Amino acid sequence: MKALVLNGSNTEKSTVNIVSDYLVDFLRIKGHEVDVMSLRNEKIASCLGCFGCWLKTPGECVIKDAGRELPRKVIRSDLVFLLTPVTFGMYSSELKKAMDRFPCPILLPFFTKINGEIHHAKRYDKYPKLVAVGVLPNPDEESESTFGTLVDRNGINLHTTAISSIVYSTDKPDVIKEKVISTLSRAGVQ
Amino acid sequence: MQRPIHAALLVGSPKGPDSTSNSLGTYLIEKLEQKGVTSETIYICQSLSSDEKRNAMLQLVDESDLIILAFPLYVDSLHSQMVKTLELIAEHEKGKTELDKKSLVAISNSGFPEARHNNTALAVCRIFAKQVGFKWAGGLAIGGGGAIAGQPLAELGGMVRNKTRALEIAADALALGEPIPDKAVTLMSKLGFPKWLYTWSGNRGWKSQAKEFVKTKSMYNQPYDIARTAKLEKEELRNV
Repeated sequence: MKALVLNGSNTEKSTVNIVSDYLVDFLRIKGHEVDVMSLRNEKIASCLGCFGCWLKTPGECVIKDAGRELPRKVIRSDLVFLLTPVTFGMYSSELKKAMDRFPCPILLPFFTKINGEIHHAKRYDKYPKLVAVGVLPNPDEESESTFGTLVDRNGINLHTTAISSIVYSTDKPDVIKEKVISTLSRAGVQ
Repeated sequence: MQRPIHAALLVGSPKGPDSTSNSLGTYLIEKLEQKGVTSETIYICQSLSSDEKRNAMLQLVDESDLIILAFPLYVDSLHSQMVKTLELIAEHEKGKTELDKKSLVAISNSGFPEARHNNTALAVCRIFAKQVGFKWAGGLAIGGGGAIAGQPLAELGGMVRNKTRALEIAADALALGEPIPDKAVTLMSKLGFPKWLYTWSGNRGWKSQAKEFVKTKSMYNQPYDIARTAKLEKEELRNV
């Protein structure tokens, strides 16, 4: 399987990096092809909301930077991992910068109905599974539930299945490792 | 919640002054000003461009007792620049006292007709307020934002009457130091025209806008489809 790992940690010392290391090691040991993007080290501009990827260069972003590669990397992957500190119940600004740049190019501007609700139609036949791992300092029911809902909603909008899990920065290394393996197992990664 | 004296409108759309977020936020600000609340507006897409502008934005937050976030829904939540702004404010406010004298309001607008797409984004703003220590004064969710398209609400007539009424009710309450009433939330979430008409005209609108640049067929391009890329490469080799 091909996996894309989007690491949205804001700092070098974040637990998100520990999660990323365990995840990447596990995937590589199992023989999967892994592409890791440490987003805070990438030059990715914020989405301009210009709709150029729908109107001028359909399917391709008009901003020429590392973010332009994201739709290609995403659509050619089987799994996309979203690793982030849970920030007010959502993704960090680093991860969100990347998340804002790929959905529009891989979808059509036209509307379609999913379970009675309007969403954008598919551009491609197949979309990668989304697997999000959020890191929190301590248990926080409201943030965890909002994060889970956000990942589920992203799955609906991107015509795919999405799963999420939470790791606490106070977790011991063995517990973090266990949570990563259990998340991968839920995502169908053997 | 106390009666506000000075309000900060933070517009979180990358389109800045030309955005629907600005149309909605500005209308609310105008109504608050009519009730004696002073205000200042900042466009996030401009305020993150330099340290000086970031500091000016943080100073405005310091000087305001009502903070209004108006933003478009981006991938089920807030645009990255808006998240960055919340991160900066949270860091800036760390360790400060009496933060509950500041109230936070959020207006989230989506291009999908159903207002409920905004629920997660508003939950994020509520969590932000709670974690920073601001008083949460409520959120307004709007669907069908494409019909406003950055135009002033006052010029759009009956089509937005639910939204203008909702913002007026919200302004009345906020000016008295009260949270946004449920009636405003309900009115704001009403589309104001049939859902089928919005999606039908939206689909037609995309095609007519694209005509200026590409053929309609090209709008369905799949530039990263592996089978298609292999086919194109084969054709290219044949032509060499």
